[in-house]
Amino acid sequence: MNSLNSYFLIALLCMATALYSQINDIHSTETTEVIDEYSQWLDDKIAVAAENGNYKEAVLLQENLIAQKDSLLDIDKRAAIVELELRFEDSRQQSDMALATAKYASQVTKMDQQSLQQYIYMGGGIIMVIIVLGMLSRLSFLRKIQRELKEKGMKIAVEKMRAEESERVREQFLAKMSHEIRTPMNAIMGMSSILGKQKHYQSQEKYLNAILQSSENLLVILNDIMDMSRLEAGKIKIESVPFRPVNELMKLRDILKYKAEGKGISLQCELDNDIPEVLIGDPVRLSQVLINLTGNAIKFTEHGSVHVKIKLKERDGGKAVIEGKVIDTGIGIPEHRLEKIFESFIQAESDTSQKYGGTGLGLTISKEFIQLQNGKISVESQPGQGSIFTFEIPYKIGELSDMPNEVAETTTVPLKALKVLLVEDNDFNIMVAKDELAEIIEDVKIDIAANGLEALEYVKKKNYDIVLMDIEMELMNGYEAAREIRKLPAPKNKVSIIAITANAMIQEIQLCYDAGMDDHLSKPFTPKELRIKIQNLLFKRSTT
Amino acid sequence: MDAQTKLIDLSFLAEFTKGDQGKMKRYIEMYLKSAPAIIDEIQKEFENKNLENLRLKAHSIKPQAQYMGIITLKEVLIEIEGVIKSGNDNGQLSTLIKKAKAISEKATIELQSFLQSA
Repeated sequence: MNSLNSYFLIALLCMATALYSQINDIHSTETTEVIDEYSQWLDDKIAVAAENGNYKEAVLLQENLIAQKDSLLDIDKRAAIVELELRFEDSRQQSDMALATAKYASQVTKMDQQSLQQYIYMGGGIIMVIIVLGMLSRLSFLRKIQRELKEKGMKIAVEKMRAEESERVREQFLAKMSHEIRTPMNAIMGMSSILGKQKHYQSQEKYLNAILQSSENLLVILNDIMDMSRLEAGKIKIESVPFRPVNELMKLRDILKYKAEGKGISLQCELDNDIPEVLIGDPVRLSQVLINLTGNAIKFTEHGSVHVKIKLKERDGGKAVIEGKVIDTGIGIPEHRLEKIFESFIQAESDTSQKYGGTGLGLTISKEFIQLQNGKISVESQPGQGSIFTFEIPYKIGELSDMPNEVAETTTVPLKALKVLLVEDNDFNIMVAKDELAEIIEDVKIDIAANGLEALEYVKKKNYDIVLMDIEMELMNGYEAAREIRKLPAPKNKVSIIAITANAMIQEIQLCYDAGMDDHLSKPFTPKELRIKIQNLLFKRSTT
Repeated sequence: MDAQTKLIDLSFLAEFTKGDQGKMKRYIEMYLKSAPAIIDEIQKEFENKNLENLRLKAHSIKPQAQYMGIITLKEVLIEIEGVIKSGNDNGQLSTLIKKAKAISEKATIELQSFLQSA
């Protein structure tokens, strides 16, 4: 508005100036011309009167002319005054104009600033309005979400209660069914077994075997489902107890060797000597993993072998990571099934369960057990070539004295004046063993036999408290020597024999026990390990 | 084989002897006296095709290799045993024996060097 007023004012000023200028020009020009013409006319009249001798008239005219000129002078003066006034007025107007222009410019600047401020205020206002509207919208949205969450929370709580109830019912059902199925299953298996031992027709043999085999399969499936159910419910607890890995591997071999033999494939179990004698962890779950993986390997192998290798992967202070490998020469797994092989109810091929049986839960359960023990499992395989399942489990390292059936270190009496027969053919090993025996037994008496034959002769001639028996020797090996010693008349045949092996396979360790040896030690062994073994045997002997 | 790579690792021996330098030295000397000779015998048994004796000798020095921390030698010896046990030598036995001898010779030098510096 102010801006419009200013423009209007300037326009008016311009118009006034132009009008004044025009009026001024007209007034001065016309007045001068009239006066000049009148003076000229009087001059002419005076000249005519004077020529005509009419001097009186000439004087009058002259007076009139003078008066007229005075009047003219007066007019001129007034005109000059008017002109001056006009000029002054003009000057004043110009000054006013300049002032007005300056004022206008100032006003324009001021107005621009005000406009800018107005724009800022307006913009700010609009933004504020938008923010407020946004906040209101957000608040409304949050309230809506809150309401929905509350509703969902209530639904979830209800669903959770239902799920817990359902889980409880499921567990009860499974426990009940498990019991109900196991009882008749055991009866079927027991009676089939008794029937098999009784006189029966040869033609019935295959039916009896089929009943036993089917019952065993059903029991495996039942156990798998129970395990899976407990795993899903988070009911599996991992124990932390001392155990001897060698025992678990021997147990595995005992359980599965007939299955492997029945299929005409070899089962080899190997335990690395570096593995600590005692580990602290869950032997039951380790055993289940080994049985699952090895059982699968045997199941899917028609020719060749299944090799179980347990070795020490890492050892750091009181902890050890054990690596287990189950290697078979079986049907293998196609590459596209490898990733899914650990999923529930998944087998190598869709027709595998029809051909080989099983639920496809064994690997899932094994993986879960391994992961529960902070371990991991992987598989490599080539169809037609075989598979390698590799798992790792970390354990704490224990001592033999941690074992409940072993003699507690602190309660044992010192070993003194024992007679030991060392059966060993390697000079280095003899030196080490003698050093160790001397360290742990005060006044120890040691005889050295270079092979089984010499050992047998020594035992026949002398009485010993302990025989430390190497296995791989020329002329007569440790197994044969032990068997021969056990055939000797009492009390010679009662001597305690500890097998000393180097990187023996589990079946070789088993052979030591089968040959009548009492215990086993892997080379290299520490004096402490040897002492506990000897103390343990002497303790057992004294209590039987 | 990398000439800079150490074959021996005496940490087990040090632990076993509880850091007794005299005992360590005695064990190393015993190893140097017996193990290289057995490796030579293994070579001879192979040449004489007496594989069972070869296997027994390979078996007997495994613990020694382990005491000296020569794990590569121990692994080769296990392989030799495995090939003989399988009764299926397709030429790898000769290679493995050569490998065992090469490792043994290098380890011998390292052990001798250790004894000189001890």
